[in-house]
Amino acid sequence: VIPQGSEPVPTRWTRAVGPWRRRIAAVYDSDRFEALRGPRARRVLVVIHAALVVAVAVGVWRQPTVGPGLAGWAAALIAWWFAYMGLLVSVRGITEVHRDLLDEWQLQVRDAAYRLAHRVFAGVAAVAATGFFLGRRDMELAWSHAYGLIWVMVNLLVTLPAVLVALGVVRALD
Amino acid sequence: VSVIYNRLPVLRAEWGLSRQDLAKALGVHYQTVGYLERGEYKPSLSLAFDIAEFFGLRIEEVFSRTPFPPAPVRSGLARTQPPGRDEPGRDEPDRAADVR
Repeated sequence: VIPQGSEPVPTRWTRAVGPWRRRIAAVYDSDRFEALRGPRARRVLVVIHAALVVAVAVGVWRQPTVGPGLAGWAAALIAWWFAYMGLLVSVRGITEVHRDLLDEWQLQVRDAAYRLAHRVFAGVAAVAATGFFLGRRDMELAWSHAYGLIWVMVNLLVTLPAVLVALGVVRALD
Repeated sequence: VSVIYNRLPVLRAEWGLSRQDLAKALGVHYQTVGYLERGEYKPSLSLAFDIAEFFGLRIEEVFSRTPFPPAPVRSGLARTQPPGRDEPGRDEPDRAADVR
């Protein structure tokens, strides 16, 4: 079927956004969380989130000899989850929600955030890989080390756009 | 980087609209209206036309490459009703009424 005019052909990515996604976007945008959206609150959330990521990574790295136990892991992961959600709410979830739920300014901010996050992540990954490669002779690597690194890298990959928006870096660039 | 000036704060005040009201009518987030008003964000051509149409003005009456002259000071700045049809360029009062 040849599309008429400039009307785009619907795909699985451009279909109408369902009520569930709208509800999640409404929670991200809710005025109840206004206290988390000041510049200082956002910076605090970024620091708390980063500290929890590092704490869990160090715990994983040193497992199983000095692990905090099941309750400790559960508490750390729950705290991490709340920090992550707080971070997303502080930026109104614009790095996460469907593009049809964002306006043109929010889309620009999101595009800039992902563009910069891609570069930052590539830089960090290159430095980490180089360090790991150079230092591999001095340490005995175990699976727990790999899990710790994967945890940090995945967190960086997933949360970096929201972190950059929360810190106001993206707006300053564009 | 070229600067685009706009009369959005004045027009919104004249119409007695909140940012939320205007944002809802334009289909954008109220933060976006704030960024537009402060000149921190330049709207797309489509949004610029939407804004001009909403206020019943030509696009060059809302946006300009040169600063607009300061708005005259008058008592009771906020309008309680949208401008009437007899005023020049006000031909879309129905759309404004939707947001109240």
